[in-house]
Amino acid sequence: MIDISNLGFSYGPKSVLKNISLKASEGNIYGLLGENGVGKTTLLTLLCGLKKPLEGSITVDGRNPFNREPSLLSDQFYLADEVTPVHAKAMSFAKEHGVFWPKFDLDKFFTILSELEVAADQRMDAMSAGQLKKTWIAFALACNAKYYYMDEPTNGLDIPSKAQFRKAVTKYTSEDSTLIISTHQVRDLENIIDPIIILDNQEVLVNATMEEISRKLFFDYGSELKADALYLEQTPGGCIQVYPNVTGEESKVNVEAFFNTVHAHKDVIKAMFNL
Amino acid sequence: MDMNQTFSFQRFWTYFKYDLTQMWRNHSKAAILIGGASAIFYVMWLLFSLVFTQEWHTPVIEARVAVFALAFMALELYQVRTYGHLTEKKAGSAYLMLPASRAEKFVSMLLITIVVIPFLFMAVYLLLDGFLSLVDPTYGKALVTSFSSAYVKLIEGMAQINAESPFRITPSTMTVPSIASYIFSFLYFLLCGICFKRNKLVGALAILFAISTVLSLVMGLVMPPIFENLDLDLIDEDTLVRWTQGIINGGVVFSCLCSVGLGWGVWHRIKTLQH
Repeated sequence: MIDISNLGFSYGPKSVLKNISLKASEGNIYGLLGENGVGKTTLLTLLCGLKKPLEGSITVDGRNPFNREPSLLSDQFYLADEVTPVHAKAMSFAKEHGVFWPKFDLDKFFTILSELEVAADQRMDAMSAGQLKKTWIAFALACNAKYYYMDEPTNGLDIPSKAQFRKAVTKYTSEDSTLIISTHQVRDLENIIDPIIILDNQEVLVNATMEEISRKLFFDYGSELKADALYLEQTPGGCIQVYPNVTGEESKVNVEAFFNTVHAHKDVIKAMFNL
Repeated sequence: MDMNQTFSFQRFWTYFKYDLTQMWRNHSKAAILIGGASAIFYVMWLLFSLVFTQEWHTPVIEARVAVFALAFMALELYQVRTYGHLTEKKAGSAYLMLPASRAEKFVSMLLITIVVIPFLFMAVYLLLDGFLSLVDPTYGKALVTSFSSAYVKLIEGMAQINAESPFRITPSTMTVPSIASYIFSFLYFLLCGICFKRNKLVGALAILFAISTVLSLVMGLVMPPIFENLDLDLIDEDTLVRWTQGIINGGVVFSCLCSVGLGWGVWHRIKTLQH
């Protein structure tokens, strides 16, 4: 269980996160969304212990991540947006690094790497950015960690790899694993992320499950325009409209449309989701 | 406090082996270049003498000792690079997120910097030098034999001083400050390497220059009035001996304190490093 309470962080005089409180429970894949510069990466680095909160606290299963205790470090994996090219072959890298994660599975690493179409005997410092990212993704998933913090994991991946990533994440993470994935590429991940956290300038706008979003908002893919639509987007085949769900009818959540709705009607959405 | 979270010998050993592997992987070229300086110098000297004099001349002992001293100095300066990657966002994050405790990472860093690297350098350098001495009779005696005879002469000189003067000098009077200053210099450049993000060597040398300038100024202001008011005729031999021993002992204590201070600086940096 991740518990963030009144978290604050700033870079010098520039405040990035202020009074952020949220809880993340086990067994979910959280999508962390937000515009550029709202503090998504900062939040992830605070969660994994790379940064120390300036205000408030973070606990992960009751432990402070910034203490960087080996037991917590071996329970988590932080996958940065830009990963480091190791001067070794992928297989050597996995063998040498994997020993620090008690549940690391080398066979699983080779399997995922093969599914992502990267050769295990290839040197990592000679890989393309996409191949390098895929190697780190394979390694991360083979660690069998309980907590994953992934910053823009699909950045730099080609189209087939994005699908393979989605498949690998759902297939190779255990049911009690908690993933927090920050992304701008919502379409890449909208089928796997649930709940959704939307960060805005120094606050959490939404922390809701897909079921909750669907219960409170209706996503209309028809062509008939509604007067009470909070958001309207023309698409080649018609349009997407988002409006309050007054009938209780179910609809498929379009994460991008939801994100834009939240941004256009922050106060309405915050009131709707009781934040 | 859970000791296993602070230091575990089993995990330390795993980490230490990993750290050594990474060190070799990332710095082997520099290690070969510095460790093989004797052989490189021998080949260059020979090449120049063959080209310009058409005679077989090998480096003279004075030049060989000077090259050894220069190579050792280069090794000291190189410490800004051995763990310099810690200040880089990507590699530094990977280092901090590796599941080993801060204490284990610190001890491994110290062992590698103070023990492994210098001893490996000495072994490689002196073995190569010994090999050259063995295969080329014109090369002269191996440096290691010159060093041992120099040490024997030093001991004899000390015995002579002890017999003929009231001063008491022991081998530790010479070796402790030497060891302390060697540890000091390696730790100093290591600390600068993990503190400065850019221009690590320039920064390290600039600080040394600034400190020595300030110390020179202070000494220049403080010492002359002391000597002006000092009546050397009133100082007996016992006082002079006591003062001299005091200065020597003070120097040893100061060197040790500086090394401990730098060690604490390295520990503090590892503990508080953020990315």
